Amino acid sequence: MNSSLKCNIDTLKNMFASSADFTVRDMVIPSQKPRKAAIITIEGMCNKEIIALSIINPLLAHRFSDGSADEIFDEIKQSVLTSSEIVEFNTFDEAIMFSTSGFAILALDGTDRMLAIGVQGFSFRSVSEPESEVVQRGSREGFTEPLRINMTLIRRRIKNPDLVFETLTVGEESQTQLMLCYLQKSVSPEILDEIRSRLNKSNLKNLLASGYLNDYLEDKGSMSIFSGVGISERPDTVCGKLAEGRVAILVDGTPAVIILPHLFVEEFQSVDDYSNRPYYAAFIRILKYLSFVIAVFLPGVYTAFAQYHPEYFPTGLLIKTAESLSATPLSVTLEALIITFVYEIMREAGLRIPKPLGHAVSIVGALVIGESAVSAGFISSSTLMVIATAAICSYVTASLYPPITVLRFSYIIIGGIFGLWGIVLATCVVLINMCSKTSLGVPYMSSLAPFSMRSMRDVFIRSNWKKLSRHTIKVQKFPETEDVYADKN
Amino acid sequence: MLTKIKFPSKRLMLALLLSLSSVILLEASDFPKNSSFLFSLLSIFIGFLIVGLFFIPSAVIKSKTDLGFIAYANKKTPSAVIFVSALYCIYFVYTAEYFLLRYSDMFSKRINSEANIYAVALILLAVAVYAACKGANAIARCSIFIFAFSLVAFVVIFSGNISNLEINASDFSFSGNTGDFIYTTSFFATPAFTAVIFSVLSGGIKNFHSKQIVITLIIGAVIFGLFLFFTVFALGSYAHAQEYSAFLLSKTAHFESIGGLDSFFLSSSLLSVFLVISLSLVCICRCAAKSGSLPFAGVFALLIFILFICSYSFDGVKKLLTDSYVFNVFTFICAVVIPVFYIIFGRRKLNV
Repeated sequence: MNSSLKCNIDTLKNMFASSADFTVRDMVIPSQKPRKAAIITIEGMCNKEIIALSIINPLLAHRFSDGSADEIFDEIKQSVLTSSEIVEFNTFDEAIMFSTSGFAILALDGTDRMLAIGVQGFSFRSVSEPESEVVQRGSREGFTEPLRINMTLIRRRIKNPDLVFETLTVGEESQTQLMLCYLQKSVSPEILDEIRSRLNKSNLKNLLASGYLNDYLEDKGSMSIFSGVGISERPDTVCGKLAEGRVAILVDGTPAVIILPHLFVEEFQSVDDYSNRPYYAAFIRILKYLSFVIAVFLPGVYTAFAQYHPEYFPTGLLIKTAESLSATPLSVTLEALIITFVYEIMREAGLRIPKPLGHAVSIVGALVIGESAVSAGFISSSTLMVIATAAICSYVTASLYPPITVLRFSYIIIGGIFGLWGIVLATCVVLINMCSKTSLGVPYMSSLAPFSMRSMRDVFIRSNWKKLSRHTIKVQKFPETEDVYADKN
Repeated sequence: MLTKIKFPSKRLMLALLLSLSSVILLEASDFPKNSSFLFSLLSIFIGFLIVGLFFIPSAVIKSKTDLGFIAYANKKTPSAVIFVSALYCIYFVYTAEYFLLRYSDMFSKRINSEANIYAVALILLAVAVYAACKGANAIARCSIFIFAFSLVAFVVIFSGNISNLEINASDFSFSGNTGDFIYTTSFFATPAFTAVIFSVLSGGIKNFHSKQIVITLIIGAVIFGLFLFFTVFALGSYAHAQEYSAFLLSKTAHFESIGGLDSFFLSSSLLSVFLVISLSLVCICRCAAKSGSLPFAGVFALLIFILFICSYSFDGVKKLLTDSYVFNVFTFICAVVIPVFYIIFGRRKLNV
């Protein structure tokens, strides 16, 4: 930086390409020898009231001693400004970083140093219940967009000096701030180093959502439709995962927090499981696993049975299904595909259109398309019922919706072409894929394959808290995880 | 990364148990039909005893050196290992072909006679290549799910046949001739191919104990015995006139009006064949020290497919490739003769 205020401001203006929101408030410091100063802010990022109260008023009211620009700068820093957050810096890159983060920059003529003063005051969504992870008996708080608020939500729940937030910056152009969050004594240093290394290697230009990082955080050679990167919008969920040795990545501007490593069985766990009585939690868990199986396999198996193995239906059901199918012009495979496709369109439309119109879509979908298509004889009621059941089941484990949808479509096609034989072989492919997948070296199917009896207490059933709290299983202690890191070393 | 780490031997044993069950699931006319139940049980006992003996050389190598047989051979005779590897590759091609042909026979005779058998074989091989590329560990992990499914399938098939049981005292007599005994014992010794798979893959396992082999073989023998029991007492003389008695067992299984339980049997047999073929391809890759190599596994799968086409074009080839006597002799050479030779040769070399 230069010691000339004008020169510094011109440089910054040029760097911001004279952007409309780049504002400079010129002022004169009242001393024996008045000195020019300026407060640089980005409009909308700072609270003007706080600027006036904690910067401008104290500066204008203070009686400065007669001294050099550097002496006045030190006096301002040490005894004039009333803000709690003041950082000294001397590069333009830092000036850009601070100003775009909502700091006010105080520049004084005659010195090559500047002060960044914390006066953030941008508007943001308040802490509210996350719509994607609704619970009955848990906390109603969910993450929001600003990083600092999300950090507070975690810190409030883990009042432990072990909790560490580590800053990283990703995005060549967006310069988005990330926070690696972990419990120092619980986390595996190898896993932590691996995450740091993968984030540093990311070549993203702009990081606008946490989902951008998924590809960089997935293990190499683990290509799968299932994700080895967990996402949560709930601070209580994240805190629970941190206690198990996992690492959370908070991305500025995104309420979705990344959790690593992420396992398949975690998709079936929810905060409510731990609040409900163990027997009911176990019932819900088993229900979720069954729902997943139904959502994936039911339409495909139905198609295969109806087309190639009708003898597998019990006689009564066979008569009803045959009656229903014989009245429609399309083959059962095509019928199942069309209904699933139309359902996906309606679901996507329902998600994107304004909420008041959502009901209209539901009515059109349920009554007009569903009811009318059956009564007109375009589709059979049995196929519609099967697809609808599978669709409802897929919402039980909402986080698995993308793979469920792709697998459902695939199984309908495979069942329609190859019958049950094809479905069994396709399942082999899916199972092999899932069993070979790892999330930061931890087998994705841990607890099931590799099978771990110890972790079974929180897989299909949820043991009572007396047993669960006796020993927390750290994620790096899952079978075959340490072997992977030992092998690498 | 996954292909390099060692996995628990229990899991390999589970995969081998499921693989050896394919022998009983795909049996055509080999199942004992003329001998009494007790006589056939004795055949199972002797057959599995032979299988157990086949495991001894590779178990000794594993216990003493913690190496698989190919790695052991490489250590002892680096210059000759190429011939040993080539022989084992041929053996695993034969194994894969043996089960693929038996499965495709059952498929065309019992499941769908109009299906294109070449397409069936090609798809099955493609899936096995994918599995082989992921390595033995992934296949062994997958076998946990296959085991869970097979367990349900077997329980359903057996319990669905309980109402058909007609136990006759005459079936418990100890009758049968020597020819039948040799024939059935040879059939029940076919699971010995798992000993060769074990000898190649044992280098990649940890926490190995010899008793795991014994337990695996006991469970295998019990499964075979159960199939035999239900075939004799639930199907009776009907089974004698038919091929694929075990499959018929699934056809006759029912719970009141609920039938169609053969879908469980067909799925189990497909899964066990898939395991055998993919483990064979993994072994081929291991023999060539190319774990998880897609092109390598693909080339051998193509070779298996070409042999498959030849088998359906020339009856002699098919007869040779599905002959259980030839298969057992080949297994004996790979599981016993060569490893024992290496153990003796290795000791002499060490003494020198």
